[in-house]
Amino acid sequence: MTFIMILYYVMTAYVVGMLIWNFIKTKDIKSEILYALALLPLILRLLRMK
Amino acid sequence: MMRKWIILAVLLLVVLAGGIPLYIHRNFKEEVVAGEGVTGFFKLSKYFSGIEGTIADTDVFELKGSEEGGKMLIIAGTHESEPSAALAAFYLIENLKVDRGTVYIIPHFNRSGSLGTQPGGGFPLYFSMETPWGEKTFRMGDRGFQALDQWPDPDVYIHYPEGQAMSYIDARNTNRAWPGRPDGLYAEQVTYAAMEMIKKEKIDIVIDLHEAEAMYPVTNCIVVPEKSMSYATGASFYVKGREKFENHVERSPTAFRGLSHREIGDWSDAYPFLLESPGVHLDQITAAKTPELIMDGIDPFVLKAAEKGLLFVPYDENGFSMDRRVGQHSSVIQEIVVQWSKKNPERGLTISAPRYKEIVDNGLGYFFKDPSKADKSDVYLQ
Amino acid sequence: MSADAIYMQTIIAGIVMVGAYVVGKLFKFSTEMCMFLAVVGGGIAGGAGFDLFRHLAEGSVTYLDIGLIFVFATIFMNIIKESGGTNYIVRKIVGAFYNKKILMLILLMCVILVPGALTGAGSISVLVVGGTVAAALGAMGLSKVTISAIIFIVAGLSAAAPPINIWAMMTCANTAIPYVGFTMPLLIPIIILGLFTVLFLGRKAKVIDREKALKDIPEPKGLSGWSVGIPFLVLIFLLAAPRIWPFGFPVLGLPLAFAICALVAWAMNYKRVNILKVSKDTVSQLTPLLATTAVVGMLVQIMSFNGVKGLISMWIVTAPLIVVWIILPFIIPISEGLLTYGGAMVIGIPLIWMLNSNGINPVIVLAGLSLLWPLGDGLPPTALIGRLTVSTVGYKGSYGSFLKECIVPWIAITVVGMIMVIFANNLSFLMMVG
Repeated sequence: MTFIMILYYVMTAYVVGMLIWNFIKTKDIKSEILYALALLPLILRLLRMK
Repeated sequence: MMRKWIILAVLLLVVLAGGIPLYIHRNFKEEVVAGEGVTGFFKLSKYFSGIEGTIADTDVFELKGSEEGGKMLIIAGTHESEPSAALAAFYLIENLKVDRGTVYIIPHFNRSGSLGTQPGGGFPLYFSMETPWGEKTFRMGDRGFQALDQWPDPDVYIHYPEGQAMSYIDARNTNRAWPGRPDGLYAEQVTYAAMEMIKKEKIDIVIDLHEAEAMYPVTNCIVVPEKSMSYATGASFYVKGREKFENHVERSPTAFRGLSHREIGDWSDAYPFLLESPGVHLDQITAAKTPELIMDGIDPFVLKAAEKGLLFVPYDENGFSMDRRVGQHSSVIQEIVVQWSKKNPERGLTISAPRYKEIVDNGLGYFFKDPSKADKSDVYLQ
Repeated sequence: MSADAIYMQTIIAGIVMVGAYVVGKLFKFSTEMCMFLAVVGGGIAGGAGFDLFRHLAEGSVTYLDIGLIFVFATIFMNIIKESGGTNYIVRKIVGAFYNKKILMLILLMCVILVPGALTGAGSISVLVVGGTVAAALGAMGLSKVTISAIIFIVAGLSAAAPPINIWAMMTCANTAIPYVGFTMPLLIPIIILGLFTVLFLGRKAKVIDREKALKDIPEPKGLSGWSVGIPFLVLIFLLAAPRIWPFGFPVLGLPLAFAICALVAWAMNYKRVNILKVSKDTVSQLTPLLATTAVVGMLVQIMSFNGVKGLISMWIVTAPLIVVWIILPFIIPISEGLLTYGGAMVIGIPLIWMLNSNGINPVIVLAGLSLLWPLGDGLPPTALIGRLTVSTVGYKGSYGSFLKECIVPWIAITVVGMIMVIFANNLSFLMMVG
C-alpha cells in the first residue's frame, strides 16, 4: 500500500469519526438515519471490503 | 439511546451481510486444468521485478511447441467485466496444441479487476456453465483496477509518454496505460511489465481479448494498426467465408493513446490485434443483469434496439452466447496465426484447438476438464 | 423467461420502486430515505433475495470519492470562512468598488462562483459566502427575494462550473466518456449566464452605501491578505502541478489536495479556527449530501440489477429525437428535484449514451445538461439549495414568490443549455479553447 493510499484510509477514518461523533450527539431520528447511510460506504472501505 | 443502537445494528448488518459476500468473491479461486500443450508457468514479474508480490503481478502460461518458431502472447482480462476473454484464455490453456512456436497466455491481465464487480453496475458476482462433470463457476470482474488496490484516482489521467489527458477513471484502465512505465500507477506498471516481456521474448503477435457493447460502434471486430492490417483482413475474410460469422476490421486511431492495438505496435516489433466480441450484458439498455444474460446474451430490450437499427452487430432472439463469443475468439486467433505464418514462414507458428462451430455445437463447457479428476500439479488457481 | 415476462417483471420492479418512494414521501421521509426505500423495494421486486445486502454495499461505494471531495473541499472553505477570510474578501471588494455598481455585482458573482466550482456543490457556495454576499447585496438596496434569487441561481451555476462538476463526473464515469475538455464548454456559458443573472436581477441596485455595508460585514481581526491568499495559491499549485509535471508529481487525488489546503489554511489561522469543530460541523452540514451520494450509488446499482435502468434507457434511445428535445427542459430539473444526482444517473446516462452513439459531441451535451440540473435543486420535493438560500438570506415570503423571481434567469439558462444540447456538434469548438 502506498503512503498516499494510507493517507486516504486515515482521511476516511477521520470522516467516520466525525460522523459517529455527530451520530451520538444528534437527537433527531432522520439525522441518525442519514448518518448511518453516509457511514456505510466509508466503513466498507475502511474494512477493505469494497 | 435504544434507537441509536438499533440503527447501528442495522448498519452493521448491511456492512456484514453486504460486505462478506464481496470479501468471499475477492478470495474466490477459479480452477484451470493445464492441458497437454502447457509447458511452463511463471509470473509476469519475471520481466519487471517492480510488480513482484503486488496485485499487479499475474500468471503467465507457456505453451511451447516441439519445433522452434514464432511467438504469440494472448492477453485476456484487460477488462475483467468482459468475461469471454478470460474464458477463451482458460479454454486455450486447457485445449490448445502448439506444434511449432511458443504461445504465452495471461488469463487475468488486470488481476485486481477480476477480484470485484463494478460498483453501480448491478452485476452478479459469479456466473456458471454446465460441463459434462458438473457446474463450473467463474468470478465476474470489473473494467478497471479495484479502488482497494489503486486509490486515489488523479483528477485527470495523463497518458505516459504522450501526455494525452483522459478521464480520471482511465487511470485504472489497463487498456489506456500502454506502453506503461515502471514508476507509474499499477495499471501502468503491469503494461510496462508486459512490454518488457514482449521485447525480451521477441514476441511476434500480441492478441488482446475483449468484449464490447452491441450498441458501441467498435464491436464484433478486430482492431489493428496499419502494420497488422493485412493479417487481420485475411482472418476476417476467412472466418466470414468459411466459418460464417462476421468479424470486421477496424483501424486503430493514431490520436487515441494508451490502447494495446496502438502502443504495442508503436513501441515494439510485435504485431498487435485487439479482438472484440459482442458482450450484450455490457449494454446500458439491458433488462436485469443476470448470470444468464452474461452466458446467453439474450435480452429483449437489446432485441428491441436491434429492430430499430441501433446496434452494430447482427442480433436476434437467440442472443450472443458465451459459446459464440469464445468460439469467435478461438477461430480468429487461429486464423491470424495462419495468416501470419503464411507471410512470415521463418517466424511461423502451428497451433490448433476446436474452432467456432465445434464450440457452438458442443457448448463451451464440454471442453473444460474436471479439476477433481486431474493431476493436482495440473490444476492452477486463478 | 420469455421476453414478455421480462418486460412485465421489469415494469413491476419499476412500479414498486416508484410506489416505495411515494409511500416514503407520504410519511414525510427525507428524499434520501425515500430513495433508499425505492432501492430496497426495487431489489426485492427484482428478486435479489439475500443478495440485496451485497447490492446495497456495492452500490453505496460507487461515489465514495465524490463524497470525500465534498467533505475536504468544504472543510477547506469553512476554515477560510471561520478565519474571517470570506468577510475579508467581500470587505475588500466593497471598500474598493463601492461606487461602481456593475463591477460590484460582477465581483460578488465571482465570490459566489468560487466555492461551488471548487467543491462541485452549490450548497457550499450558499453556506460559505451566501450570508456575506447577501449583506453586500442588501447594502445595494436589493430586496431579499431578489438577493435569494441571485444567490440561488449563481450558486447553481457554480456547482456546474469547472473544475468539479459532479453531474458530468458521475455521468462520464458510467458512460466511459473522458471527463476531459469540459473547462471552456462549462465556463463560457456559466460566465455569460452568471453575468446576465446578476445584471438582470440586480438592475435595480443602487450605488452601495459603503459605511452600511462595512458595518454589516464583520471585520476580521488581525487577518492579513497572505493568510487568505496562500491557501488558495497552494490549491492552484496542487491542481496545476499534475498537469505541469504529469509524470513527476505524485497522484494526490482531489480529496487529499483539498485536505492539504485545509491544513495550510488552518496553519495560517490556527488561533482563530478550531479545526475539530469546523470538521465536525462540516460533516454535519454535509451529511444529507453524503447520504445522497451513497443512496444514489445504491439506486444505480439496483436499477441496473433489476433492469429498470435498461428499460428507461431503451425508451429514451428508441424515442424520436424531437420528443427528447421537447421534454428535456422539464424532465432534467424535475428529475433533479425528485432524485438529486439520481436524476443524472437515470436520464443522463442513457441520453449521453444514445447521443454519443449517434455521433453527437457528448461533452457539449453534458455541459448543456449540467446547466439544467442545478435548477432542479430549487424544485420541490427536495428544493435542497432553494430552501437553503431562502433561509440563509432570511427571506420570509412564500417559496413560490422566490421561484417566480428566478423565472427569467431560469428561462435563459434553459435556452442556453438546450442550444448546447441540440447544436452540440456546432459548438465543439468550445472544447478546443479548453
